[in-house]
Amino acid sequence: MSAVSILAYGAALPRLRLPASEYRNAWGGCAASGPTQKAFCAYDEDPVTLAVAAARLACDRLGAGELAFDALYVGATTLPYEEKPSSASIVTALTGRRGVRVVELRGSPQAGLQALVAAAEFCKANPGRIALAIAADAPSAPPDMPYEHALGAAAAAFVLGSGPGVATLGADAACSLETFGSRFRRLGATGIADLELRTQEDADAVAALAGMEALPRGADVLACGLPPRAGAAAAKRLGAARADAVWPRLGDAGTASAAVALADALDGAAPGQRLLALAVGAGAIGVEVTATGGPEGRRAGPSVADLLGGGTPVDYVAYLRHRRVLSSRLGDTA
Amino acid sequence: MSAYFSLPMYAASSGQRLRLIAGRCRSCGRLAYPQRAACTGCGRRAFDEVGLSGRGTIFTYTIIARGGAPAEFDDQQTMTGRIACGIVELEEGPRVIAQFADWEDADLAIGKPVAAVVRRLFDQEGIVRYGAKFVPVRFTPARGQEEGR
Repeated sequence: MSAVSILAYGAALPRLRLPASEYRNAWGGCAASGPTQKAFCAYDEDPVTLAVAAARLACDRLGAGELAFDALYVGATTLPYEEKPSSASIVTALTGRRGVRVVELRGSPQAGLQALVAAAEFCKANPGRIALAIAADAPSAPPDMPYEHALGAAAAAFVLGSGPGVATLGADAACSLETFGSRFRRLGATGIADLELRTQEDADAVAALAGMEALPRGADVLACGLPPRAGAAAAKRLGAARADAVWPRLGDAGTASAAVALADALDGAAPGQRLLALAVGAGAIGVEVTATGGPEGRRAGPSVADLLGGGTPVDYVAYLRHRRVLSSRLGDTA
Repeated sequence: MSAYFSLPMYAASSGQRLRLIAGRCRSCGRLAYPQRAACTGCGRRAFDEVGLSGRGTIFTYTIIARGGAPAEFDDQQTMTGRIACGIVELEEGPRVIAQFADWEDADLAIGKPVAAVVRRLFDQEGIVRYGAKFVPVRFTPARGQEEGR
């Protein structure tokens, strides 16, 4: 069976940026590890709008007009509805076709790469068909919670199928670990809670993944979107030469962090370069990706570096307003 | 309080709002966007659906100052301040009324290029209404590429 290809991909970031200095001014310090800024949703943005933007860029890069994809897998923890699939809005924004399988994956930051793997499995099971995988997220938390300082927003989309693309997908592996006190959200709550117990659960998950030996060592880049220290430790554990560096300008974009890091790595990857995408949260999932260069135009438009380097900085009060924290009417809605 | 906006009407036009689906008159070829029952060129009532590119230019615009927004946009205006809206002339010809997003003062001028994106329009009855807004098409010096959506 031939390998599944990433035919095209695209990332989307909100335009607004909150510099880390705004937290120092407002709270006396920034609790996040190492960011200089984060990207966050404007009042009229959410994971659905970011997902559409990323998917449209990916489809535009294929140059085929409206893409006839057969399945859509969306990994997100902060879609606006518990019931009523937001992915139906996404698919309606992308195509008028009705016969599209739509699947939403949630539950942890792993969901973005879980969507990628599930889409690849769809393609393996249905040779010749095309699947779209999207990771989009805008995690939130109460503003007086240190964990909130890192939370940003982003999306990345990958068009998967057979034939020449920008990369091929290789082995994948996952582990699931029950966690206690870190990054949880009860049904009905809009923000993440974290008891800040300073456990080593994420490192344990990476160690468990490394111990499975299902993923080949020696990747050139670990695309994980983690904070620099955690990324470097994970790269060492998994035998990768280095970790990506998107975190300091993006923040924690939930399910989208690893996916955006993968898009960033693909932007700069030479043919033959080996990447390992990794998402961590209540376990870990890893996917081997090998760059293949790709036909002309598959990297047209803004790169992830362009997106990270752009944007409009705003102050902390504007941030709270855009996030509806100060709204008495819509303040408790996602 | 918000002005009532019928969900069935919204649902019926979701393709127009999210993918800019226009009607092309089967008789004279004129494009209708938003779609309408009869062609404004020849009066015939038969159309084929076509997708518009979403690329266009600002035909005219205005700024809605604080307190001046329609009720369904009250919260948006309270949280974000001024709202920019106007008429965009799409490259296929139709002119559409829409909000602008991600704009700065220098972006708003007649003739400036814009591109359609999907954004939240407003919340009503617990339902998020998505639709097209237009963002400035900016130049990205690092790669010489357009950044529109």
